[in-house]
Amino acid sequence: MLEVSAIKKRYGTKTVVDTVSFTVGTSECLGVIGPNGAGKTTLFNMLDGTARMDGGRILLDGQDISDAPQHARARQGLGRAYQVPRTFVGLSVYENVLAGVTHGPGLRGAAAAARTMEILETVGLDAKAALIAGGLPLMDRKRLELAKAMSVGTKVILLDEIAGGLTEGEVHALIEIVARLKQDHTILWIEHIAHALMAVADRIMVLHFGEKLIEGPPAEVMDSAIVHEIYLGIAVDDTADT
Amino acid sequence: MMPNRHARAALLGDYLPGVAICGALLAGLIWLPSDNRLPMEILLVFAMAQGWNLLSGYAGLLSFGHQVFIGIGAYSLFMSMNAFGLPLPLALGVAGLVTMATAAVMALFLHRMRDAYFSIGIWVMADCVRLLIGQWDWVGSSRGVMLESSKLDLTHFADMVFWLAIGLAVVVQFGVFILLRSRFGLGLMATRDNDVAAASVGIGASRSKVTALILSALICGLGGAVYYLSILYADPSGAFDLSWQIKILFIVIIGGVGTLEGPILGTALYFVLQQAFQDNGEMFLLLQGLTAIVVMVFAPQGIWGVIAQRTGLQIFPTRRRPPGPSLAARRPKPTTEDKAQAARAPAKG
Repeated sequence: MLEVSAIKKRYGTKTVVDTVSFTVGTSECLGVIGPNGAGKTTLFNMLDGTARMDGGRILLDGQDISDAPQHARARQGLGRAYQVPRTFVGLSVYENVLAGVTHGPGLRGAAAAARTMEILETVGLDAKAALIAGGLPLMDRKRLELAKAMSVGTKVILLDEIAGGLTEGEVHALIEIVARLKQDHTILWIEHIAHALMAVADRIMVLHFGEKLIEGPPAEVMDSAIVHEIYLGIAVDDTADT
Repeated sequence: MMPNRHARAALLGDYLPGVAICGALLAGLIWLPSDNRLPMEILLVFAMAQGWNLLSGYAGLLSFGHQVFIGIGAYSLFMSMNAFGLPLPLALGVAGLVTMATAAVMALFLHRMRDAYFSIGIWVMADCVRLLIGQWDWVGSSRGVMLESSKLDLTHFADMVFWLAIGLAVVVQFGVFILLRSRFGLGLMATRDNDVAAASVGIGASRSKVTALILSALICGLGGAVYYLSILYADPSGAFDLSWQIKILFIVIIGGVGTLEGPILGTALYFVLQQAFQDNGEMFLLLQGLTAIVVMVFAPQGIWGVIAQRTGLQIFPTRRRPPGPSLAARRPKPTTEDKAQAARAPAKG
């Protein structure tokens, strides 16, 4: 359960995220949408501790993590997949995930190895476990990014545009993975591919210029006048793609 | 957890090649030369190079200021024996502690710096310390300091220093090897590759780097202490000389930065060059520069880096192998239900 109240982020005089609040329970998925520059990734940066907040509070299972450093939040079970994969390029695929499994939930020895292989099987990288991650093509790096988020995200998983660039079949496989993760996780998912979000999200939140415009059931939000207004043009392109 | 027989065999297999090669090299250094002055220097320079490699190759912090730790190690050994009359073993301990403390203080200023800022930052600090020592009367200012050798057993002195150097080199090589195979080592290498991503998977990235800096300093401090112990005299322009750093840099870059085998190869190459052109200093410097250019152009990852890349050979294996296919094959194919259960299980963490 993630409770976020009135968090803010300013860069200089510009407020990038302005007093945003929401709550996401376990076994729930909140989709986050909004045009480019709406503050979606900045929101995630504040949630996982990549960036400091300029106000507000974050509770993870009732515990205040607002001031906890990034690595401490990861150890409390918060995992995050970055939009641009941040791969440990000098390590093998296996070691990329093992690093999370041993430092986050703190598994050791055979248990850590088994959990790592299980995650790699889930994202479809088990056959490439021994390869050096720096040599992976982009799509595999995105899979690995999801695997890294899963390696520490025992409670909360933040997904930042992990479906971008996947083929339709791959998007379906991804939806299946996220749906399965949702059974016992709190999930936040930023995604431009609307039908992927519609399939998994229980609610959708719309950010626009750092402000939360609307939050509600996916169908209702997507049909709302306000979303049509800010997405005019963009939404048409998306449907054309899919 | 008790390692089973299979794991123990694998562990032995991981250590055997390294132990064999180090044993052979040591035997050569011990038995072949008539005089152990040169072997001692080789071993100490190697240890320092490996210490620098721990920080620069595995933590990704390229230091240009490691001469400060060599000098501090030497001076704290000398002063704790001269001024406080400590016996040698204790003085070596003090030298190690003082060097670590120096590194910890420097880390206060350096821990947020990265890339070139770190490299230049540590270089400037190292030079400040050199200048300060040169002004400080208690440590002999620019004249330097002689070790009061009255308490030393000078009959077996050369042998004793030689064995100290052997001990240091062996402990450093296998100590760093064990460290890199540990959870800390994995976290350190992840931090090197991407510190934000490392923190996002629960690694205390800043702390890992500071720990690596302190351990790296300790190694160079002890190396400096033993080296200057052998010549009984240290002065600021020698012990804090940038040429120490250049020597170390050359060795590790040529051999292969971020590999445990590289510094061994680099040290060997450096001393072969040095001995071959013993009477022709200019030729030695010229060839040293030429070697550096050739290696950096054709094999930027160093000689061992190329060998490892081409052959996959590892004498000191630090990679964690995924559980073998035999293990996976033995496991029954998971049913959909099992998979759902497995997905649910980690929530307990």
